[in-house]
Amino acid sequence: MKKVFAVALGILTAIGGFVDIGDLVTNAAVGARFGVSLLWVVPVGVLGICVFAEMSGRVAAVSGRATFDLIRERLGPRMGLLNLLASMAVTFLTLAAEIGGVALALELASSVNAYLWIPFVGTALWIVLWRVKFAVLENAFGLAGLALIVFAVAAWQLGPDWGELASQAAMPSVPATEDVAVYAYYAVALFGAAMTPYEVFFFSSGGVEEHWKPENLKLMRANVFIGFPLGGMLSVAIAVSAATVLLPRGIEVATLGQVAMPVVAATGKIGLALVLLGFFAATFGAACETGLSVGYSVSQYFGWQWGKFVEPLRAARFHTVVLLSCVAAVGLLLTTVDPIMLTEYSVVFSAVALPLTYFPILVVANDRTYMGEHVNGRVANALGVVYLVIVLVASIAAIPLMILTKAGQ
Amino acid sequence: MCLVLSGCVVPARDGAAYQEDASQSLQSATSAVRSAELALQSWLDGRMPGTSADVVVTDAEGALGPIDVAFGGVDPPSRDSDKVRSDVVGLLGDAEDALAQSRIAVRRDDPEGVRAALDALDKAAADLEATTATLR
Amino acid sequence: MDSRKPGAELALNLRLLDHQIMGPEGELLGNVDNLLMEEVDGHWFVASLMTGPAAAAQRQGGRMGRWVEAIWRRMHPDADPVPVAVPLRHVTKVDSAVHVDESAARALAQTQGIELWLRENVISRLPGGLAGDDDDRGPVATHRRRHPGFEPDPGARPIGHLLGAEVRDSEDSSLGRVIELTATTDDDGTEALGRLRLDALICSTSRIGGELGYTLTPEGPWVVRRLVQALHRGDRLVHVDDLDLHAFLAAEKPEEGRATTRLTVRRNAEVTHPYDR
Repeated sequence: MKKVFAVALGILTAIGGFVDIGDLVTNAAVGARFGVSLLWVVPVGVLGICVFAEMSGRVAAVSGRATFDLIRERLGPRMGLLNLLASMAVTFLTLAAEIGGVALALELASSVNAYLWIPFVGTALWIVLWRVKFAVLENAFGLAGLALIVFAVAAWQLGPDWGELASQAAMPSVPATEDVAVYAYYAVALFGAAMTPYEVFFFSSGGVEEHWKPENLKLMRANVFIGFPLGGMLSVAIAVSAATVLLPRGIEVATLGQVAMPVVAATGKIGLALVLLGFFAATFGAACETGLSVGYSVSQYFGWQWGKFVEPLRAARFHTVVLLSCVAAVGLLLTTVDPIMLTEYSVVFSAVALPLTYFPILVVANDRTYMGEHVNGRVANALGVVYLVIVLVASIAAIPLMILTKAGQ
Repeated sequence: MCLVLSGCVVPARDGAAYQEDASQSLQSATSAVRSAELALQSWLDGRMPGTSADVVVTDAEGALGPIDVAFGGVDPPSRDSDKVRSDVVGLLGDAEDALAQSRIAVRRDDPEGVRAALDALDKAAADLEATTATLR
Repeated sequence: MDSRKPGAELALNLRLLDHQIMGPEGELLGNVDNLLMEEVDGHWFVASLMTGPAAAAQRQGGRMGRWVEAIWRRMHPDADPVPVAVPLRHVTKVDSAVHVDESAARALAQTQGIELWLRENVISRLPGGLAGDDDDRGPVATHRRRHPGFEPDPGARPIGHLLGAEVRDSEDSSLGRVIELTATTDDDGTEALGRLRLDALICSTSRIGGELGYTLTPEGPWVVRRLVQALHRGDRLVHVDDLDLHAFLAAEKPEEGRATTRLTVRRNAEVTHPYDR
């Protein structure tokens, strides 16, 4: 019974924790602009993050080494340092976007301006990272994030022509009013939203925090291969409901309120309450993950003591990095940069930085000396190589597309 | 996205580019007006609390200002484009008025005022859409 | 891998450098930033490992390295600071981490300057800084102490000087730069890893992928393996006996760059691709 509970809890938190501000904004924006014609990217991204997370989780469970340990080990100190700077910049941008997302969710609930919330959110975030136990932090926000299932309910209630949607999604084409480059740009953004590097830093470091051993691999795989795809379904529901409500009205997504409007239209006040809870949990949970990930990656590169499994005094440098990144993220937001815009940039830069993290993990997952019998099998390697190519293409294409389309105009 | 869009309307080199700018601005404005309309309608139907409707309407109003400023700041490339300019600036002004009216009504919890604002929004949005179509 | 078995081979760049150093209680004590070599009776041995900013700066070299080292000297409380070096007899096991014994763990914990400073001046002053999930561990180090047993030997040479050095054959054509070194464990009858005897070095004309772990054995997914093999088909393994390491390493002082910048392979030496050993 206890085992069933553990499996269920893991899967549920994986679903609820899957969506973050990047998924919310990008899926709604794409749904409102392209209907379901770009939806094929979501399963591609979700399978990618499954492959990637499973490999890094397996390496963490078998060898006890989290992702950035491996990056430095296999790329050397110089390339590793460049990688660290790039990955940290992207993760930090995402952290700021998530904090902004929490503030926007609070603004929607209270009508108190988001910029007034930002310092409070930053402080609350740091207190949680400083004091709350890892397992509590992971489970609480993951479970509360399940409130976003209301998007699926809304999509159902809105009753779009499912047959029509399915055929459009299955035969994707560039809408007549849109440029091919813009379509490709949003495809990269959607891919980057599903496959962000911090997810892997957090997932593998979390495995070390929770002292995974090879016997935990089954549970980890269940979480990844059941939880992530179901979480991906939430992304699809967000895009479908935006395509049903926002697209016909010519509404482009520029605020978090617009992301919530389809749910309001379909399910009213209770739906709105759930959406706001979901927004809050998803963005706050992801803010915790990104905040910790900045600390994880720096500490692992230098070999410092890290993690919430030791008392803070033993990991002084790690906690100092986490504290500083919370302060800096609040500082960035208080320059009155638009958090939604920050989110849009962060998902694209995620796509750019992805190969840096992905490649070393693929290599180490093949190292027999470390992995023994748990080394990558044929399927993992076939998928791993296919995704290596996809990730490289997305990474190389991202910046030129961004310039060419003036960030998706 | 419309904030980004409006923030970087490209200086127009010829009439066609100016029309493209105008059409982009109108689309962004339509998006803001239709969002506010959806929020007001939901409030009137009892599907959305005033606090959240207020945020959506205020955001929409806030989005329109930069669109207006950015488009107004682009010089029309020739006299032929002057009519496009005056039409678009006029429409953006109407949309701003309708949004301000909506904001006031929803903050007052005034259903009559909201109904009137809804009519104004719908008209503004319809005009915006009609003009966008002529620019294509 | 059982690294304690005498005669076991260890690829130093792949399996030791840049790896996590771990204490007996699982504490994380830095990464292996450099290794020190010593000459005994004409043979070269890897005798100790180093961690910390000074060691990393020394390995990095160049302007960046000198800059980091100067900052480290300036910030250090001692007048003439000495970096910490852990003799390999304190290494108990090498797997994905490098495990050290209790005395080495203590020496490392009590010499990490930034950590100690932040503990004393920042973290312990924040409410709740002392609470955590690990009540069963020993006390936390908060004060710096010098550990004379854990300082570099004056005759020791950092391995960073060998890695990246250019190797030429007896006809003076280049074989590339050193990307990997192999060493074997020396049987000294104890549980510890002990010193490692330097066997061979591998040089390559390719600068990419030298640390991925494919230098000695082909591994990994087909595409990546093929790509790395193609890039590294010019790799050559040279036995240390076929080189004059003494002239290269011992003739210089560690502080003042290299006396000679290239190694020359002896005439009639057997030079092969690492896979063909």
